[in-house]
Parts: sequence; C-alpha cells; structure tokens
Amino acid sequence: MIELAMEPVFLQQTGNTMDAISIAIDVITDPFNFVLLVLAVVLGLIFGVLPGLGGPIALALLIPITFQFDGNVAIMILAGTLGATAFGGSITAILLNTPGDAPNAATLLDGYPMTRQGRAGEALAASAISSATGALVGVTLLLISLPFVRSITLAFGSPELFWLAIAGLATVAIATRGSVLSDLIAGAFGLMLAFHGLNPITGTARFTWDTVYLMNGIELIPLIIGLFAISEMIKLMGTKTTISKPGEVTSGIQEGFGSVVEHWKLLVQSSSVGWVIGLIPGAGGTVANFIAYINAKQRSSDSQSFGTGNVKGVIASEAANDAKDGGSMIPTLGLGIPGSASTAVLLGALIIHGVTPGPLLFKENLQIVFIVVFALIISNILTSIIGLLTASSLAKISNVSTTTIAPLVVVIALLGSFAIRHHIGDVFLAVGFGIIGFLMLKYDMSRVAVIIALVLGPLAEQNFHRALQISHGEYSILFMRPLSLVLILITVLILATPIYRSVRSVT
Amino acid sequence: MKALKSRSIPLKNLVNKTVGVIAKYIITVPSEHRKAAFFGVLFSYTGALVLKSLEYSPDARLFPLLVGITLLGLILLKFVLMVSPEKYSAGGGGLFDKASAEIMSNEEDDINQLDNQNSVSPEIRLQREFKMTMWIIGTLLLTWLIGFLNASVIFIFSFIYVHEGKIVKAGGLTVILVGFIYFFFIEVLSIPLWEGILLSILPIAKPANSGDIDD
Repeated sequence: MIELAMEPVFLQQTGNTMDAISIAIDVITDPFNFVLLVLAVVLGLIFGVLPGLGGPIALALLIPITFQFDGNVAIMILAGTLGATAFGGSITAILLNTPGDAPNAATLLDGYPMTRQGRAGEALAASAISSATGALVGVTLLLISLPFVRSITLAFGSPELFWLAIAGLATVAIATRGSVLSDLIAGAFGLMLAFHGLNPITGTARFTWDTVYLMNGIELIPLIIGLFAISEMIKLMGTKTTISKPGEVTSGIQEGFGSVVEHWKLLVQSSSVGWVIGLIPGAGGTVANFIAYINAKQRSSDSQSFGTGNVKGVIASEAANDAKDGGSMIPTLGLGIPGSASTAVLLGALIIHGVTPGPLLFKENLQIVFIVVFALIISNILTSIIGLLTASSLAKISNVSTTTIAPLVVVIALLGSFAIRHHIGDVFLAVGFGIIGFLMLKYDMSRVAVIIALVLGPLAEQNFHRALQISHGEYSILFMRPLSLVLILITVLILATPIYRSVRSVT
Repeated sequence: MKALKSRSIPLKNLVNKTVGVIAKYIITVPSEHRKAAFFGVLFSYTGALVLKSLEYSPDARLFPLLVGITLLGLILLKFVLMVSPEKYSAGGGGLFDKASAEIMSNEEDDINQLDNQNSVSPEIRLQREFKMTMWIIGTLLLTWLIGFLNASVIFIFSFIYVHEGKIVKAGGLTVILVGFIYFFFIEVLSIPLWEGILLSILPIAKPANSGDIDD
C-alpha cells in the first residue's frame, strides 16, 4: 500500500462557532485534503457495494492510514467514507437483491422488484438523489439541534428503547405482504434466532448447543446475504431468465429524478424519521431504514404496491439511511455513545487522535462537528453524482444472463459472509439461510419480518432487563415516563389498525 | 478438448438423470405436504428451544419462553388452517383470510401453474432449483476443503462452462473475478481468506501470507 508521509500538525481547535466553521472550511478546501476526501468517498462506495464489507470495515481499515494526519483531516476522511458507504450498499441491494450492509436491507424490498421490471436506472437514480437529500436534511437537523444535544439524547432511557423496539416489532403484523399469520410466524422465528448466544444482561449463553460459534449469536450480515442474495439466485436459476425481462431495461434517470421531486414530502418525512432513529444510541441504521419504509407504506394510499416495485419504498429507505448519520452524530459526538457500528469506529478514531467525545467536544473542538457536517455533505453529493452518471450503465447488469451473474453473486456473497469475522462458520450460515430463505419465498413467508425481529429483538430484551435493574424489579418504570406512554400508544395504534380495517371491510 | 467434452457428457447425463429422479419424487409429494414438512421442522426446532430455555434462569428464559410458546401456537394454527381452511377462514376477522385463500390456491400451484415469464413447467423449475442448491452446497464444501480461491476458480469456471458451454467466457470471467478477489481482499484488505481444511491435514507448504485457520 502507498504510504503517505506527512509531518504531524498540531490540531487546530476552538469552541467558538465562527472560528470552528472557518477552520472546517480551511480543512475541506485545502486541495490536498480535498483529493483525500474524494479518494475516501470512492473507497467508501466500493466498500458499500461489496456485500459484507460496508461502513464499519471501511472505517476500521482506514484508521491506521489516518494516523499520519492531524485529527481534523482524519475525521474528514472517515466522515467522507461513512457518507459514501450508505449509497454504495444500495447499488447491490437494487441490482442484485443483496444489500451491501444491513442498513440497506429495506431498499431491496422495492429496489429489486423495480430492477426486475427493467426500471433499475430509475431505482438507482431515485436512490442517489434520496441519499444526498436525506444526508442534507440530516446534517441540517444536526446543526439546528446542537444547542439541545444533551436533553435530546438523554430523553431515551431503557424503558423508551424497550417500547420503541416493541413498536418496531408490532409493525411486522401490518407492514409485510402476504398473510399476517405467516408473517407473524416469520417474525417470531426471527426473535427466537435473536435469542441465540450470550445475553449481555443476564450473562447466560442461550441455545449455543455447546458450540463456540453460537456464543456470539446468529450474525446478521451472513443471514441477510443468505436470505436474500443466495435464495434469489436459486430462484432465478429455476426460471433461467435474466434479472429483468430482456429488452425492458430503460435508463430511467429522469423518471428517478421526477419521482423524488414528486414525493418530496415523503423524502423529508423519511429523512426526519431516519434522523430521529439515528439519535437513539444503539438503534442502528437497520432500524432507521425499516421504520422509515414501514412508515411510508402505512401512510401511502397504495400500500399494497409496496414490495412490488414502488419507487416510494426506495426513496423512504435511502433518505432515512443517510439522514441517520446526521442524527447519530449527536450521541456519538455529544455523549460519546455510538449510534451504530460505523459511528462506534468513528468514536474510536476520535479518541486515537486525542479528541474526547462528549459535552466538552462542543466547547473545545467544535470544528470537528463542522468538519463532519461538510464531509458528509460533500461525500453524499459526490456519490449521488457518481450514482446518476453510472445508473444507466449499472442498470444493464440486470440484463446479463443468470448463468453468468449467479456464480459471481454466489462467490461474492460467500466472501462477504466470511469477511466480517473471518469465520468459515458464517459462510455455512449464509448458505443455510439461503436455503431457508428460498423455502420462505416458496411458502410466502416474509423474510423482512425475520430481519426486523433479529434487529429489534435484542434491543427490546436487553432494555427490558436493564430497566428492571434500574428500578430494582419495579415494573412500573416501564409505564411512568411520558415518552414511554407515547410509544405505548403508538404500539397500540399499530396493532389496532389492521384489526380495525378488517372489521370495517367485513361490515 | 473433444476428449474432455466426450468424457464429461456421460457424467453430465448421470447428474441430470439423478437430479431428475429426485425432482420427480419431490414433485409427486403434494405441495401441502411439503409445506407441512417445512413448518413441521420449524415447529420441532422451536419446541427444542422452548424445552432448552427451561434450563435457564427466570430472567434468561422469560423472552424465549414467551416468544417460543407463541410461535408454537401460531404454527399449530397454521396447521389447522391448512387442514380445514374453509371452516376457519371467516372467523379471523379477516386477518387470516389471506392465509386461507393462499393455502387453497396452493393445491394447484405446483401442478398446473406455469411461470409467467418463461412457461417453465414446475418439474423443470424444481429440477433447476435443486441443481442450483446442489451447486451452492458443493461450492461451500469445496471452499471448506480447499479454500476460497481454489474453490472459486473451480466453481465459476465449471458453472459457466456447464451451463453455457463457452470455455473462453468461463475462463475469462474466472480470471477476472479471482484476480479481483486476490487483489482487493488479500493484497489491499489483508483479509486472511480461508485456505481449506485439507491444507492443515496434507503436508503442503502454506503460502507466505497465510494466517492461522480460525477455530
């Protein structure tokens, strides 16, 4: 690898807003630094595209390279990479039904059906523009909320996180297509999978069947890769057709652009949802993605079309996915609590470069916040431009014969499964869930419900136990706080909606 | 090349015949029974989890028991609806109507329904899906035995050659993808790719950049 030798520069730091903005602009607009940012963006895009790699790995691999630069430049590089991985993952989600990273999983729900209909270009263009706009909304909300950082993040305690997870799980009953019973079975199955492994609260190793491999539970990325990518390749080989029908692939950039403009309200709404979820420490990008998607589906007048190639599904999930980065900077920078795996790595980088996240960061290193903001904006704009320029070329992948695409996707999928933990067991897991996913496809069971349950199940259980530990066993803690009551009401409404609709349709 | 092709044809025929026999057997089993078998396996595994969770402390078993027992109930309900969809479809307040309709339509699914895109008969589709599954499992086992790079070379080349018969295309794509894997994963990312269990058994020298094989 090329080594860049630079003399160490003292970190320019300030707590004054105008000085902080000035320092941030100086750092970003320095020609050499800007080139580094562009390279970071390209690298982030590549990492985002390859399944199983994604943000955390990209950032972790870049940290040693950033040792040679001062803290401001290092954070600029890392924030730029973070912004790019989000969109990169949507490319394979849309074209190959394989999310680059878990937060892109919701994008494939409508993105891939669009590709099958020959509308890959439209999906990619909509994704590119939604990503950039979502990121802009996210950083704008970040800047507006800077004075209220502490109170926002501290509002969500264990009881609130528990109810938020329950509300997310409740949406399984209404948000997925197919029969409610099958989807509930899929969701419950996902929850049982989530209970495998070492429980950090009770300290019990559950359902490990005396294997070391299962001590860490069921790894999410290999499961997603198997459930979606491998199962889809099995299904495609059954019909031996191309991903999209021959001759039906259109460029779609104008349609994609038009769709985003037409649904600007959805864009802003989904960005806001993503940003709010990003605020919650530990919630993660996957949660933001799915909740925004489910919210968009619920509010839509043609909710049945979600999952069949409705561009609104792509807009909602991608806008939320990028807006969450802005939201997650608040707990990460303001409290030193990472919002997701990627921000956890970013936090590590900050500490390595001598910057202590927390309330003092806003007093002594406010320039870091503005560097992150500017880097996220520039990286998202750059990735969107790249996405728009390459959308029509990338869309042609959907016309390549299945017998050519399938082996390539399978190999990349198996590699991606291995790359996360360097464990061959993850590859076996991916193949196993590939077969299970294929059977779920056959019997019309929702694979999305499994993912939602796998992500939210641990959040619900751990925060339930944590809340009881805080209250010394008093269950009333779950029902006392105003935000908890609001979330309970939302959960009840979510569960009551399908019953109300069914009764109304019968009468 | 001709000798290679002539040797591979009887093998290909044997594989095709075996797969055809297995697929024919599977398709004679009614789709409802296959579906029931799938849910039966799910029921069994969930039952095992519920029983296992009784060994844990009250805190540790709370959620698994709650969810596990609920899941067992849901699967039983699924079986009941599969057995008597007409009797129970009106009683669910509409929530399970979709399930009943879907189950009833499944009876004809595998026998009469043709794929919209390609008019592929269910039997041929099943054969292809089964073959693809076998390819993937075979690649997995090969990877475990001889490592990622070696298995990828064999899999990509043989898959494209068997399905398309184009040796140049198969060779070209193999070189490109494996080259990319080597450059990006091994050289740039320094990811210690799995080198195969055979390497640890047979007295073969390890490549210079190999790491320890994970447990």
